[in-house]
Amino acid sequence: MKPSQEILNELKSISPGLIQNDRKNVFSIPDTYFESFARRVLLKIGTLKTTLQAPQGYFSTFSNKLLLKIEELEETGKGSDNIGSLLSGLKNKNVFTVPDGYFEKNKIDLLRGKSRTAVIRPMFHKRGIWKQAVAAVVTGIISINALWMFNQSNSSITSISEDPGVSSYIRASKEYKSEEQLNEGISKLSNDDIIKYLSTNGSDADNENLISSLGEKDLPAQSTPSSDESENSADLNSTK
Amino acid sequence: MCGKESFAQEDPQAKQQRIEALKTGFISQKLQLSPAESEKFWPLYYRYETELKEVHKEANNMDVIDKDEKLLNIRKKYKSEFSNVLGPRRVNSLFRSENEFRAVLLRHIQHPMNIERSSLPSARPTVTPPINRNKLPLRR
Repeated sequence: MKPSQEILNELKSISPGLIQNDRKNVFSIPDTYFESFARRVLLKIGTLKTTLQAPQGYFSTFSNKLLLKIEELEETGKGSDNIGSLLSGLKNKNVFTVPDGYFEKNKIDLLRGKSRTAVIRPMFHKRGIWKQAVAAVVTGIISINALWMFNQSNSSITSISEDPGVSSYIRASKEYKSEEQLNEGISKLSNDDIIKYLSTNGSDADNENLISSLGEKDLPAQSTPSSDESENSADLNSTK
Repeated sequence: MCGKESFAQEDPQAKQQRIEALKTGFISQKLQLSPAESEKFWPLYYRYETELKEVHKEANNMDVIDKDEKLLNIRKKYKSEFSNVLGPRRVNSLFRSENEFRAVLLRHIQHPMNIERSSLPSARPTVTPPINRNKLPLRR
């Protein structure tokens, strides 16, 4: 990185000699310095001598010596004399005192409510409860309406299906499932019943078209080619 | 023949209801309705038939053209409703099967003991027997 000219000028004003030096690392170590560094450190540690030394076997008898010293102090009573004169004078007295009736008075204050009252933190904020309540009511109304509409539509279907006419249709559709059953049913019909049925079902145009499609040329010609309705009615009546 | 004799003892209304039931079975075979479709279709068809019957009841005091027009209007009205349940293609099958059922009945008048399988829903007849027109319900 090349230093800026401003920095160089500032450095020149501070130390004109320093700026004449080249930018190079002036600290250097021999080439294999770190290769043998760890070994040399360990050797150095091994040659150090500690200045603090305990007599031989000191720590092996230390605990016994300590206990004996404590027992000796207790027996002679010199131990308490070593404690400060103030504390030894106190012996086992309670140094903390309160005025007479202190706790009784505070108890009364507590009952009077003078003490700090506990803060009751509600588990749910009121606003949150209201929101939830409104949401629950709205959801309930929607659910009830949906259920009512569903029942209405179902009941309308059910009421139609329960109509004797409809149920007879559905029953009949299940009764005549095969051609044989239809054949048998039709074979039991009389001509009068069929003619009566045809006269009360389908339009006249339908019937005429039907007859034409069945082969009008094969039909015997009418005795009088008249469209007199009374004549046709007479024909119908004669079949009954 | 025993069945036919017992049929003959039925009251006229029961006989007509039996033919209605046969037509229902005929249409049901034609349309191949699923149970779910049946639940929707037959109540609708019942309403349709009821309206048609109302027109037929009033037919005595009605002009022929007016009657046919009213019947046609009812069919047109219900066509879209049937289409919602059956789809447009099967609606045509429905109206066609109504006519075919009447054709089956007409053929039975001509040949009462000869109801051929070919006349029923599986196929259309190839040979048409002669029909006595004087006995058929033409315009009154």
